[in-house]
Amino acid sequence: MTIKLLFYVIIILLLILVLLIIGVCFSIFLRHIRSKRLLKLKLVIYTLMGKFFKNPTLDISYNMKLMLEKEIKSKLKFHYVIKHLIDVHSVIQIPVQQQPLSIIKTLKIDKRIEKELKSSKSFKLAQALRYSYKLGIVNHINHFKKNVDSSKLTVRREAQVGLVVFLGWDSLILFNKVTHPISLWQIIQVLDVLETHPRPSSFVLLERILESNNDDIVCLAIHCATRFGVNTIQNKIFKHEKHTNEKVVTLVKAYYNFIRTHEIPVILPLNKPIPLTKVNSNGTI
Amino acid sequence: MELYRHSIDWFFFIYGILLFCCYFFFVSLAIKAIKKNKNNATFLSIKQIMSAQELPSISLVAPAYNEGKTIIINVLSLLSLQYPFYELIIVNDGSKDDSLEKLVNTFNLKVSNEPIKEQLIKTSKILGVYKSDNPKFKNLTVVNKENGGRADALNCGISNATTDLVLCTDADCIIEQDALLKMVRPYLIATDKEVIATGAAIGIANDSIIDNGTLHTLKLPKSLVARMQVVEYIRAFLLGRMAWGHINGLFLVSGAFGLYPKKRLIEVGGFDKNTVGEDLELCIRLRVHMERKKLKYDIVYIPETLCWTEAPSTPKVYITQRDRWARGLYETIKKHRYLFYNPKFKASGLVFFPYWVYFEFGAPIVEFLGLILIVIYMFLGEINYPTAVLLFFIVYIIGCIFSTIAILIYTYNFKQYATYPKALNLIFTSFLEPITTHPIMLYAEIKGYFKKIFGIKSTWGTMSRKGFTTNEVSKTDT
Amino acid sequence: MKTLKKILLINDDPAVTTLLKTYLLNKTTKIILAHTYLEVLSVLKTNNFDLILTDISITGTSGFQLIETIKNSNLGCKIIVITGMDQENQQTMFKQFGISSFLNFPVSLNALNANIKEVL
Repeated sequence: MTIKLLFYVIIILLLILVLLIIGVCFSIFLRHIRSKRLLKLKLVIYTLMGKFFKNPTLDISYNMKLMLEKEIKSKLKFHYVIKHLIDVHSVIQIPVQQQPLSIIKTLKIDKRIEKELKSSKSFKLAQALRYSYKLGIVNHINHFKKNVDSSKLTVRREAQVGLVVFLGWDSLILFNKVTHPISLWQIIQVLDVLETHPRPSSFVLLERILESNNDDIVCLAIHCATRFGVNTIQNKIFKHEKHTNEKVVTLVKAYYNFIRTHEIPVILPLNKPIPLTKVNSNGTI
Repeated sequence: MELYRHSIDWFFFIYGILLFCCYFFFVSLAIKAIKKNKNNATFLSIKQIMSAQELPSISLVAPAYNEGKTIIINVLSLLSLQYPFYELIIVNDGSKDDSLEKLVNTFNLKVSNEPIKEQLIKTSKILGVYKSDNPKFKNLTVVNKENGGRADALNCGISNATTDLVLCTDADCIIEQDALLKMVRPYLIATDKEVIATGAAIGIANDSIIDNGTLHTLKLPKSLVARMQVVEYIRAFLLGRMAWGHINGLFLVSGAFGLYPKKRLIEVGGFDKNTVGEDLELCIRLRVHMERKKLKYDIVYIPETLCWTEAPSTPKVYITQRDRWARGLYETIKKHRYLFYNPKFKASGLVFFPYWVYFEFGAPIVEFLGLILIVIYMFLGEINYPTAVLLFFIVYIIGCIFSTIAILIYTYNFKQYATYPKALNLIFTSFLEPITTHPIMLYAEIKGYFKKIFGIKSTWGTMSRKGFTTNEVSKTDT
Repeated sequence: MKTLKKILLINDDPAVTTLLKTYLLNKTTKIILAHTYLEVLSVLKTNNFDLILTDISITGTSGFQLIETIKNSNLGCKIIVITGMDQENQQTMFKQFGISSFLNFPVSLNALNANIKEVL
């Protein structure tokens, strides 16, 4: 009796093994085909964007529609196309006003992203938020306001960064109300976004968040002051020298070193990056 | 007597079932963990990390002992890692060959004017700290010290590091150029839980073509022993470590490639010189340290293969290595036996440490005893041969299934072995594992335990390395 | 007849070079792309370029080796480095290696145009 049972078990296990081996072969086959198709798609997107940069008046949305509409019906390709539309931004600077939103609307990408914004899964929602702010879809701003204090970490993070994208330096005020911890990556993202906005005439909001009860927000403020060479709030930052949180103390020291070694102009130019010249240890520039 | 024998049989049966359940658990957790890692990576693009100003600085510490033949190529390769805030510290651990001379000449090294810093971790005597006056090698430091062993050399490097994070590796490992950008991700997204160690998968580059210090073409090792280890590493890293990492149960970050916060390393006193399993021991000590301080922590694994190394390609060297690993495990378990079912250390003491005792430390012992039992039964004529053979076959196929699952997950997610010849070669190699390297490994592990129990002295052993195949690809005239 | 200005674009990513080529290509320019170290070596041997736009490193090269190779082979050619790692400490390294002009990703088209105007 038991011999029969054991035989059946062996046959089932062998079947599973064969299925797995077929699975391996299939996954290799899929990968091979997909990589070729996806690479072609990527080159199409980059070439069309290249033409757009050469001649911004050119309406590339028609060509994009022709080539991409059918492709993005598949979920995988949809995400792939968006990823590369976003990645082009990391190759060439596109000012917010000049973003080719027409492509997004023609391919109905904004409608699909809006659907994902209603998802209950945190990854999908966070990803949709990210797509929205990277592609500059201002219409979705209400979703950002809704999720600013979400219990899910990635959703919260993307919503907060998105608000900085759309509202610029003014958005700093909302960080006063943030009680959850924020990561270094979020700080980096916020600072990268603030760099693309024109400088504010005063750093009052920065001063305010420097006094936050949330240690991570204090860190954000000091990182910000260091990145943009803000020396008008020096004294307020130095007050945190004896802060209970080691991270804050380290940042205050780094800020102090930065201010000491860089010559920062007294009158800050508004819409340009602050020209910082490094001062050598013997005082020369 | 019957009852006695029945209970022995039941013990082995239950042990086997538990082990099988653990593996099954690993597979499901690992799939979740890999997906989570992929999802996280979509938010942290390498390009954006690369251009950030506020990244933690990283030191790469690599001990070197008698590696004169390849030291220059190794150092050049390590110097080319892409990371904006990076320094390389090579610790010459009292090499008897011309390693130091070669380094000084090639990199224009001069003895540093700065006084030798007070060593935060005690190590054997430092004979000199060298820096280059060639601006090309500005971020290279070579510390020359008296021989003290690998752990001692690492501690010396850690003490001399001036950065936030320290990556401990070996000088002859080949590291992917964007490895640091990927390894820093867990530190960037950490919020309330501090990341105290990060590891990544380690690949085997035997017989692959190395060009200019980077992996040019990946090939499967020619030797069966090395090829078996490719499958074993895929299983261990992809299934085991990813699964543990997902539930914060990682006890081991490989000594060949581990990134730690310098502050915590100094606090725990660095690596332990008195054990050959210094990486496992450090990890446990870091966990205990954070538990004692009542701080939340996490140990993260990155499923990508970021570091390539040479694995033993002959049974003799393989046995030396596994013997050493077994002794390291024995020493570490013994040193930290206070953790066993100790509620003060929460999950580390109640779940993870007992797992290591029963299924990592205990597995070779149980298997060895099982084999002895089978031999005894054979002599007593108690074996029901058909049932025994079929049972053995079932266990064998289950082993093959887990290996194939690991390879399937790997080829689905990563491109390295994703071609028909390589993948199928790996699968069929894994079918041979239970009858070739597994018994050899069992022998080596029992030998290691024996040595510890009976106090037979043994040390690191010399790993005679064949060296990677270097191809002068870049110099050929096209 | 005016000779065409030869431009070499070097980057790991073929999409990036394709984008830049599409942008820069016009009646006065001939553009060649290179994505691996071997391609760079072979192309440098057989051509004299007026302008080279390159990243700091490419797959298969270590550190500043690519820059050194380009400098050693093309005399009098303008080299513009476009890189993602543009932190202050990296910029001081650029000066050490004789890189006089560099741009960071994402590239500002105004800056790119200003830099290449002299050559074209």
